[in-house]
Amino acid sequence: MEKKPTNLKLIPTKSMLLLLFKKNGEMGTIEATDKVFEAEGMKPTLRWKWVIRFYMMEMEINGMLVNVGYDIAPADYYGQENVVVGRYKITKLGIERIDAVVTE
Amino acid sequence: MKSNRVKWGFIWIILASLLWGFSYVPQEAIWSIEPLGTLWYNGGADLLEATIVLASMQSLMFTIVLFLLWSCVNNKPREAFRNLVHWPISKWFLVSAFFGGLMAMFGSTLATAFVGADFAAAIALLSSVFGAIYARVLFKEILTKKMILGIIVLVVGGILVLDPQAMVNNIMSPEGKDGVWLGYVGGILSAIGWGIESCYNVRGLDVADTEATTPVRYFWEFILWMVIIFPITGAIVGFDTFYGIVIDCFTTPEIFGMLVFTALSLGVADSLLHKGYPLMGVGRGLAINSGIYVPASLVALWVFLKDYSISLWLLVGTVVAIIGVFIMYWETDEEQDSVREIEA
Repeated sequence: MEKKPTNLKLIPTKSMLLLLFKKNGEMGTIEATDKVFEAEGMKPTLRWKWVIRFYMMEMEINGMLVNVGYDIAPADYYGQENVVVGRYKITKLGIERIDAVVTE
Repeated sequence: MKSNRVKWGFIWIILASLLWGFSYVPQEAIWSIEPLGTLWYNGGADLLEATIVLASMQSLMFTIVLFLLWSCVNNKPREAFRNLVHWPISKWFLVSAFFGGLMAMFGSTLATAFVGADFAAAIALLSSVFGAIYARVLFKEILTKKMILGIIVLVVGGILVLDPQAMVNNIMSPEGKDGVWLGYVGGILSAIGWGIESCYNVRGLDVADTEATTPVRYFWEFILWMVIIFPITGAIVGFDTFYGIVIDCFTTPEIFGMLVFTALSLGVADSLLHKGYPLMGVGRGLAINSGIYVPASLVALWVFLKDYSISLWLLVGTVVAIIGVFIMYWETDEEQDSVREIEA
Protein backbone atom coordinates (compact mmCIF):
# COMPACT_ATOMS: atom_id res chain seq x y z
CA MET A 1 0.00 0.00 0.00
CA GLU A 2 1.31 3.43 -0.94
CA LYS A 3 1.91 5.79 1.97
CA LYS A 4 0.05 9.11 2.12
CA PRO A 5 2.30 12.17 1.64
CA THR A 6 3.20 13.85 4.94
CA ASN A 7 1.36 17.03 5.87
CA LEU A 8 4.38 19.36 6.09
CA LYS A 9 2.55 21.64 8.53
CA LEU A 10 2.94 18.86 11.11
CA ILE A 11 6.71 18.43 10.89
CA PRO A 12 8.94 20.38 13.31
CA THR A 13 11.06 23.28 12.05
CA LYS A 14 14.26 21.24 12.51
CA SER A 15 12.88 18.52 10.22
CA MET A 16 11.84 21.16 7.68
CA LEU A 17 15.42 22.45 7.66
CA LEU A 18 16.76 18.97 6.95
CA LEU A 19 14.13 18.48 4.22
CA LEU A 20 15.28 21.74 2.57
CA PHE A 21 18.88 20.49 2.64
CA LYS A 22 17.73 17.27 0.97
CA LYS A 23 16.03 19.28 -1.80
CA ASN A 24 18.78 21.87 -2.27
CA GLY A 25 21.93 19.87 -1.47
CA GLU A 26 24.51 22.40 -0.28
CA MET A 27 23.41 25.65 1.39
CA GLY A 28 24.89 28.46 3.44
CA THR A 29 23.44 29.24 6.88
CA ILE A 30 21.71 32.46 5.77
CA GLU A 31 20.20 30.91 2.65
CA ALA A 32 18.94 27.90 4.62
CA THR A 33 17.49 30.11 7.38
CA ASP A 34 15.62 32.30 4.89
CA LYS A 35 14.26 29.22 3.12
CA VAL A 36 12.95 27.85 6.44
CA PHE A 37 11.17 31.15 7.18
CA GLU A 38 9.59 31.05 3.73
CA ALA A 39 8.55 27.38 3.95
CA GLU A 40 7.13 27.76 7.46
CA GLY A 41 5.55 31.19 6.85
CA MET A 42 7.40 32.45 9.92
CA LYS A 43 8.33 36.00 10.87
CA PRO A 44 12.15 36.23 10.61
CA THR A 45 12.85 37.10 14.24
CA LEU A 46 16.38 37.40 15.58
CA ARG A 47 15.73 34.59 18.07
CA TRP A 48 14.64 32.11 15.38
CA LYS A 49 17.64 33.06 13.20
CA TRP A 50 19.93 31.96 16.05
CA VAL A 51 17.81 28.86 16.76
CA ILE A 52 17.99 27.71 13.12
CA ARG A 53 21.75 28.38 13.02
CA PHE A 54 22.08 26.26 16.17
CA TYR A 55 20.03 23.45 14.52
CA MET A 56 22.61 23.31 11.73
CA MET A 57 25.48 23.09 14.23
CA GLU A 58 23.69 20.26 16.08
CA MET A 59 23.08 18.43 12.81
CA GLU A 60 26.74 18.77 11.87
CA ILE A 61 27.83 17.37 15.26
CA ASN A 62 25.42 14.46 14.83
CA GLY A 63 26.60 13.63 11.33
CA MET A 64 23.52 14.69 9.33
CA LEU A 65 25.21 17.70 7.74
CA VAL A 66 28.85 18.17 6.87
CA ASN A 67 30.61 21.54 6.89
CA VAL A 68 31.98 22.58 3.50
CA GLY A 69 33.13 26.12 4.30
CA TYR A 70 32.41 29.39 6.09
CA ASP A 71 30.87 32.78 5.25
CA ILE A 72 30.52 36.07 7.12
CA ALA A 73 26.86 36.95 7.77
CA PRO A 74 25.60 40.36 6.54
CA ALA A 75 26.11 42.95 9.30
CA ASP A 76 22.41 43.43 10.05
CA TYR A 77 21.40 39.76 9.92
CA TYR A 78 22.17 38.68 13.50
CA GLY A 79 22.21 42.17 15.02
CA GLN A 80 26.01 42.07 15.33
CA GLU A 81 28.96 42.25 12.95
CA ASN A 82 31.40 39.59 11.76
CA VAL A 83 29.31 36.55 12.66
CA VAL A 84 30.98 33.50 11.05
CA VAL A 85 28.43 31.06 9.66
CA GLY A 86 28.93 27.64 8.09
CA ARG A 87 28.07 26.23 4.68
CA TYR A 88 26.71 22.69 4.86
CA LYS A 89 25.92 19.68 2.72
CA ILE A 90 23.52 16.88 3.68
CA THR A 91 25.03 13.44 4.39
CA LYS A 92 23.70 9.93 3.78
CA LEU A 93 22.61 9.80 7.43
CA GLY A 94 20.77 13.13 7.03
CA ILE A 95 18.85 11.77 4.04
CA GLU A 96 18.00 8.58 5.97
CA ARG A 97 16.72 10.64 8.92
CA ILE A 98 14.47 12.95 6.87
CA ASP A 99 13.16 10.05 4.75
CA ALA A 100 12.02 8.41 8.00
CA VAL A 101 10.08 11.57 8.94
CA VAL A 102 8.64 12.76 5.63
CA THR A 103 6.87 10.79 2.88
CA GLU A 104 6.72 12.80 -0.35
CA MET B 1 33.13 26.78 16.94
CA LYS B 2 34.17 23.29 18.07
CA SER B 3 35.50 24.47 21.43
CA ASN B 4 32.36 26.59 21.87
CA ARG B 5 30.01 23.62 21.43
CA VAL B 6 32.11 21.47 23.79
CA LYS B 7 32.03 24.29 26.36
CA TRP B 8 28.24 24.70 26.08
CA GLY B 9 27.70 20.95 26.12
CA PHE B 10 29.63 20.74 29.41
CA ILE B 11 27.76 23.74 30.86
CA TRP B 12 24.34 22.20 30.10
CA ILE B 13 25.32 18.78 31.47
CA ILE B 14 26.95 20.12 34.65
CA LEU B 15 23.97 22.40 35.39
CA ALA B 16 21.70 19.39 34.78
CA SER B 17 23.74 17.23 37.18
CA LEU B 18 23.59 19.84 39.97
CA LEU B 19 19.81 20.22 39.58
CA TRP B 20 19.47 16.42 39.37
CA GLY B 21 21.38 16.14 42.66
CA PHE B 22 19.17 18.75 44.32
CA SER B 23 16.03 16.94 43.13
CA TYR B 24 16.56 14.22 45.75
CA VAL B 25 15.48 16.77 48.40
CA PRO B 26 11.85 17.15 47.17
CA GLN B 27 11.85 13.47 46.12
CA GLU B 28 12.65 12.45 49.71
CA ALA B 29 10.51 15.12 51.39
CA ILE B 30 7.39 14.08 49.44
CA TRP B 31 7.29 10.80 51.40
CA SER B 32 6.40 12.74 54.54
CA ILE B 33 3.09 13.91 52.99
CA GLU B 34 0.01 11.76 53.74
CA PRO B 35 -1.11 9.28 52.44
CA LEU B 36 2.41 8.63 51.09
CA GLY B 37 3.91 8.72 54.60
CA THR B 38 1.76 5.82 55.83
CA LEU B 39 2.34 3.77 52.66
CA TRP B 40 6.11 4.28 53.03
CA TYR B 41 5.94 3.17 56.66
CA ASN B 42 3.94 0.04 55.73
CA GLY B 43 6.57 -0.94 53.13
CA GLY B 44 6.22 -3.98 50.84
CA ALA B 45 3.30 -3.97 48.40
CA ASP B 46 1.93 -0.66 49.78
CA LEU B 47 5.26 1.02 49.07
CA LEU B 48 5.43 -0.44 45.57
CA GLU B 49 1.88 0.73 44.77
CA ALA B 50 2.62 4.20 46.16
CA THR B 51 5.77 4.39 44.03
CA ILE B 52 3.78 3.53 40.89
CA VAL B 53 1.14 6.18 41.66
CA LEU B 54 3.80 8.78 42.49
CA ALA B 55 5.74 8.05 39.29
CA SER B 56 2.59 8.60 37.23
CA MET B 57 1.80 11.86 39.06
CA GLN B 58 5.37 12.98 38.55
CA SER B 59 5.21 12.36 34.79
CA LEU B 60 1.91 14.31 34.59
CA MET B 61 3.38 17.25 36.52
CA PHE B 62 6.59 17.19 34.44
CA THR B 63 4.50 17.31 31.24
CA ILE B 64 2.60 20.39 32.42
CA VAL B 65 5.50 22.30 34.04
CA LEU B 66 8.01 21.59 31.26
CA PHE B 67 5.50 22.49 28.54
CA LEU B 68 4.76 25.83 30.22
CA LEU B 69 8.25 26.62 31.50
CA TRP B 70 10.42 25.13 28.79
CA SER B 71 8.46 24.98 25.53
CA CYS B 72 6.17 28.03 25.95
CA VAL B 73 8.79 30.33 27.53
CA ASN B 74 11.14 29.44 24.66
CA ASN B 75 8.33 30.26 22.22
CA LYS B 76 7.99 26.68 21.00
CA PRO B 77 4.51 25.42 21.99
CA ARG B 78 3.74 24.75 18.31
CA GLU B 79 6.96 22.71 18.01
CA ALA B 80 5.95 20.62 21.07
CA PHE B 81 2.52 19.97 19.54
CA ARG B 82 4.10 18.90 16.22
CA ASN B 83 6.53 16.57 18.02
CA LEU B 84 3.62 14.93 19.81
CA VAL B 85 1.26 14.46 16.86
CA HIS B 86 3.77 13.54 14.13
CA TRP B 87 4.16 9.81 14.76
CA PRO B 88 7.54 9.23 13.01
CA ILE B 89 9.01 11.63 15.64
CA SER B 90 6.68 11.03 18.57
CA LYS B 91 7.33 7.26 18.54
CA TRP B 92 10.97 7.76 19.64
CA PHE B 93 9.80 9.54 22.78
CA LEU B 94 7.27 6.78 23.46
CA VAL B 95 10.09 4.20 23.25
CA SER B 96 12.24 6.45 25.43
CA ALA B 97 9.42 6.74 27.99
CA PHE B 98 9.11 2.96 28.08
CA PHE B 99 12.82 2.38 28.80
CA GLY B 100 13.29 5.37 31.12
CA GLY B 101 9.91 5.47 32.80
CA LEU B 102 8.80 1.88 33.12
CA MET B 103 11.93 -0.29 32.83
CA ALA B 104 14.45 1.94 34.65
CA MET B 105 12.08 3.43 37.21
CA PHE B 106 10.48 0.09 38.08
CA GLY B 107 13.89 -1.64 38.15
CA SER B 108 15.26 1.01 40.47
CA THR B 109 12.24 0.60 42.76
CA LEU B 110 12.84 -3.15 42.95
CA ALA B 111 16.54 -2.56 43.69
CA THR B 112 15.71 -0.07 46.44
CA ALA B 113 13.04 -2.26 48.00
CA PHE B 114 14.93 -5.58 47.97
CA VAL B 115 18.61 -4.60 48.27
CA GLY B 116 18.85 -0.95 49.32
CA ALA B 117 18.95 2.63 48.02
CA ASP B 118 22.78 2.69 48.06
CA PHE B 119 22.95 -0.32 45.73
CA ALA B 120 20.22 1.21 43.50
CA ALA B 121 22.16 4.46 43.17
CA ALA B 122 25.51 2.70 42.59
CA ILE B 123 24.20 0.39 39.88
CA ALA B 124 22.55 3.38 38.12
CA LEU B 125 26.05 4.75 37.53
CA LEU B 126 26.49 1.91 35.04
CA SER B 127 23.84 3.55 32.84
CA SER B 128 26.66 5.66 31.40
CA VAL B 129 28.47 2.48 30.32
CA PHE B 130 25.32 0.93 28.80
CA GLY B 131 24.46 4.31 27.19
CA ALA B 132 27.93 4.65 25.65
CA ILE B 133 27.88 1.08 24.29
CA TYR B 134 24.32 1.38 22.93
CA ALA B 135 25.10 4.78 21.35
CA ARG B 136 28.16 3.20 19.71
CA VAL B 137 25.91 0.48 18.21
CA LEU B 138 22.89 2.67 17.35
CA PHE B 139 24.60 5.87 16.15
CA LYS B 140 28.21 4.74 15.58
CA GLU B 141 29.17 7.36 18.19
CA ILE B 142 32.92 7.88 18.31
CA LEU B 143 34.60 6.73 21.54
CA THR B 144 38.09 8.19 21.85
CA LYS B 145 40.66 6.72 24.26
CA LYS B 146 40.30 9.74 26.55
CA MET B 147 36.52 9.39 26.61
CA ILE B 148 36.76 5.69 27.56
CA LEU B 149 39.31 6.51 30.27
CA GLY B 150 37.16 9.41 31.51
CA ILE B 151 34.04 7.20 31.69
CA ILE B 152 35.96 4.55 33.70
CA VAL B 153 37.37 7.16 36.12
CA LEU B 154 33.93 8.76 36.57
CA VAL B 155 32.25 5.42 37.32
CA VAL B 156 35.00 4.53 39.83
CA GLY B 157 34.53 7.96 41.47
CA GLY B 158 30.77 7.49 41.66
CA ILE B 159 31.14 4.06 43.28
CA LEU B 160 33.65 5.41 45.84
CA VAL B 161 31.15 8.15 46.76
CA LEU B 162 28.66 5.45 47.71
CA ASP B 163 31.02 3.83 50.25
CA PRO B 164 31.51 0.32 48.76
CA GLN B 165 32.53 -1.22 52.11
CA ALA B 166 29.24 -0.28 53.78
CA MET B 167 27.37 -1.41 50.68
CA VAL B 168 29.02 -4.87 50.65
CA ASN B 169 28.30 -5.27 54.39
CA ASN B 170 24.66 -4.39 53.74
CA ILE B 171 24.34 -6.83 50.82
CA MET B 172 26.04 -9.70 52.72
CA SER B 173 23.96 -9.19 55.85
CA PRO B 174 22.09 -12.41 56.91
CA GLU B 175 19.10 -10.21 57.75
CA GLY B 176 18.60 -9.56 54.03
CA LYS B 177 15.12 -9.83 52.49
CA ASP B 178 13.77 -12.93 50.73
CA GLY B 179 13.88 -12.73 46.93
CA VAL B 180 16.92 -10.47 47.01
CA TRP B 181 17.78 -11.59 43.46
CA LEU B 182 14.80 -9.51 42.27
CA GLY B 183 16.65 -6.46 43.55
CA TYR B 184 19.78 -7.31 41.56
CA VAL B 185 17.74 -7.94 38.40
CA GLY B 186 15.93 -4.63 39.03
CA GLY B 187 19.24 -2.79 39.45
CA ILE B 188 20.55 -4.10 36.14
CA LEU B 189 17.23 -3.23 34.45
CA SER B 190 17.50 0.35 35.72
CA ALA B 191 21.08 0.78 34.43
CA ILE B 192 20.17 -0.66 31.00
CA GLY B 193 16.87 1.27 30.90
CA TRP B 194 18.39 4.69 31.59
CA GLY B 195 21.25 4.09 29.16
CA ILE B 196 18.92 3.06 26.34
CA GLU B 197 16.40 5.82 27.13
CA SER B 198 19.03 8.49 26.49
CA CYS B 199 19.88 6.95 23.11
CA TYR B 200 16.27 6.92 21.90
CA ASN B 201 15.82 10.50 23.13
CA VAL B 202 18.76 11.50 20.97
CA ARG B 203 17.29 9.57 18.02
CA GLY B 204 14.18 11.78 18.31
CA LEU B 205 16.30 14.91 18.86
CA ASP B 206 18.04 14.34 15.51
CA VAL B 207 14.94 15.77 13.83
CA ALA B 208 13.23 17.73 16.63
CA ASP B 209 13.98 20.70 18.89
CA THR B 210 15.43 19.92 22.33
CA GLU B 211 13.24 22.58 23.95
CA ALA B 212 10.03 21.02 22.66
CA THR B 213 10.56 17.31 23.23
CA THR B 214 10.89 16.73 27.00
CA PRO B 215 7.16 17.36 27.69
CA VAL B 216 6.35 14.86 24.89
CA ARG B 217 8.53 12.18 26.51
CA TYR B 218 6.81 12.69 29.89
CA PHE B 219 3.35 12.81 28.30
CA TRP B 220 3.97 9.32 26.85
CA GLU B 221 5.30 8.10 30.19
CA PHE B 222 2.07 9.27 31.90
CA ILE B 223 -0.02 7.43 29.27
CA LEU B 224 2.06 4.24 29.76
CA TRP B 225 1.51 4.30 33.54
CA MET B 226 -2.23 4.94 33.17
CA VAL B 227 -2.94 2.52 30.31
CA ILE B 228 -0.58 -0.38 31.07
CA ILE B 229 0.75 -0.34 34.65
CA PHE B 230 -2.35 0.91 36.52
CA PRO B 231 -4.70 -1.83 35.18
CA ILE B 232 -2.04 -4.56 35.70
CA THR B 233 -1.35 -3.42 39.27
CA GLY B 234 -5.08 -3.13 39.96
CA ALA B 235 -5.64 -6.68 38.68
CA ILE B 236 -2.85 -8.03 40.93
CA VAL B 237 -3.56 -6.23 44.21
CA GLY B 238 -7.28 -5.57 43.74
CA PHE B 239 -8.86 -2.64 41.88
CA ASP B 240 -10.56 -1.19 44.98
CA THR B 241 -7.32 -1.15 46.99
CA PHE B 242 -5.13 0.24 44.23
CA TYR B 243 -7.54 2.83 42.83
CA GLY B 244 -8.28 3.89 46.42
CA ILE B 245 -4.59 4.87 46.73
CA VAL B 246 -4.72 6.52 43.29
CA ILE B 247 -7.71 8.68 44.27
CA ASP B 248 -6.19 9.54 47.68
CA CYS B 249 -2.94 10.68 46.08
CA PHE B 250 -4.46 12.51 43.08
CA THR B 251 -6.77 14.49 45.41
CA THR B 252 -3.96 15.67 47.71
CA PRO B 253 -2.84 19.14 46.52
CA GLU B 254 0.29 19.07 48.76
CA ILE B 255 1.68 16.19 46.69
CA PHE B 256 1.26 18.18 43.46
CA GLY B 257 2.80 21.19 45.24
CA MET B 258 5.92 19.22 46.14
CA LEU B 259 6.02 17.77 42.62
CA VAL B 260 6.38 21.32 41.25
CA PHE B 261 9.77 21.46 43.04
CA THR B 262 10.70 18.06 41.60
CA ALA B 263 9.72 19.30 38.12
CA LEU B 264 11.79 22.46 38.59
CA SER B 265 14.84 20.39 39.57
CA LEU B 266 14.68 16.90 38.03
CA GLY B 267 12.45 17.92 35.10
CA VAL B 268 14.58 20.92 34.16
CA ALA B 269 17.70 18.76 34.64
CA ASP B 270 16.34 16.25 32.15
CA SER B 271 15.61 19.07 29.68
CA LEU B 272 19.16 20.41 30.09
CA LEU B 273 20.56 16.92 29.51
CA HIS B 274 18.59 16.84 26.25
CA LYS B 275 20.28 20.10 25.25
CA GLY B 276 23.69 18.68 26.12
CA TYR B 277 23.44 15.26 24.42
CA PRO B 278 23.36 16.53 20.82
CA LEU B 279 26.47 18.63 21.54
CA MET B 280 28.49 16.01 23.43
CA GLY B 281 27.14 12.59 22.51
CA VAL B 282 25.16 10.26 24.77
CA GLY B 283 28.10 8.33 26.28
CA ARG B 284 30.01 11.38 27.43
CA GLY B 285 26.90 13.26 28.58
CA LEU B 286 25.62 10.37 30.69
CA ALA B 287 29.03 9.72 32.26
CA ILE B 288 29.50 13.34 33.33
CA ASN B 289 25.97 13.47 34.71
CA SER B 290 26.43 10.27 36.74
CA GLY B 291 29.79 11.41 38.12
CA ILE B 292 28.41 14.70 39.38
CA TYR B 293 24.82 14.05 40.44
CA VAL B 294 25.77 11.47 43.10
CA PRO B 295 27.99 13.79 45.22
CA ALA B 296 25.63 16.72 44.46
CA SER B 297 22.66 14.75 45.79
CA LEU B 298 24.49 13.72 48.97
CA VAL B 299 25.53 17.31 49.67
CA ALA B 300 21.99 18.61 48.92
CA LEU B 301 20.41 16.02 51.23
CA TRP B 302 22.97 16.85 53.94
CA VAL B 303 22.30 20.58 53.67
CA PHE B 304 18.48 20.45 53.48
CA LEU B 305 17.31 17.26 55.18
CA LYS B 306 19.75 14.91 56.86
CA ASP B 307 22.01 15.19 59.79
CA TYR B 308 24.91 12.99 58.71
CA SER B 309 28.60 13.76 58.42
CA ILE B 310 30.40 14.04 55.08
CA SER B 311 32.52 10.88 54.83
CA LEU B 312 36.05 10.47 53.49
CA TRP B 313 34.58 8.23 50.75
CA LEU B 314 32.45 11.15 49.53
CA LEU B 315 35.43 13.50 49.34
CA VAL B 316 37.73 10.97 47.63
CA GLY B 317 34.99 9.83 45.20
CA THR B 318 34.09 13.43 44.29
CA VAL B 319 37.73 14.28 43.55
CA VAL B 320 38.08 11.14 41.36
CA ALA B 321 34.82 11.95 39.51
CA ILE B 322 35.96 15.54 38.86
CA ILE B 323 39.29 14.22 37.51
CA GLY B 324 37.23 12.03 35.14
CA VAL B 325 35.32 15.12 33.90
CA PHE B 326 38.60 16.96 33.21
CA ILE B 327 40.03 13.95 31.34
CA MET B 328 37.00 14.05 29.02
CA TYR B 329 36.99 17.82 28.67
CA TRP B 330 40.63 18.03 27.60
CA GLU B 331 40.46 15.83 24.57
CA THR B 332 40.81 18.59 22.00
CA ASP B 333 43.55 16.74 20.08
CA GLU B 334 41.10 14.00 19.21
CA GLU B 335 38.04 16.23 18.87
CA GLN B 336 36.06 15.57 15.67
CA ASP B 337 33.57 17.72 13.73
CA SER B 338 30.96 15.06 14.45
CA VAL B 339 30.44 12.84 17.51
CA ARG B 340 29.42 10.06 15.09
CA GLU B 341 31.18 8.23 12.28
CA ILE B 342 29.70 9.66 9.09
CA GLU B 343 29.38 8.72 5.45
CA ALA B 344 29.23 11.78 3.16
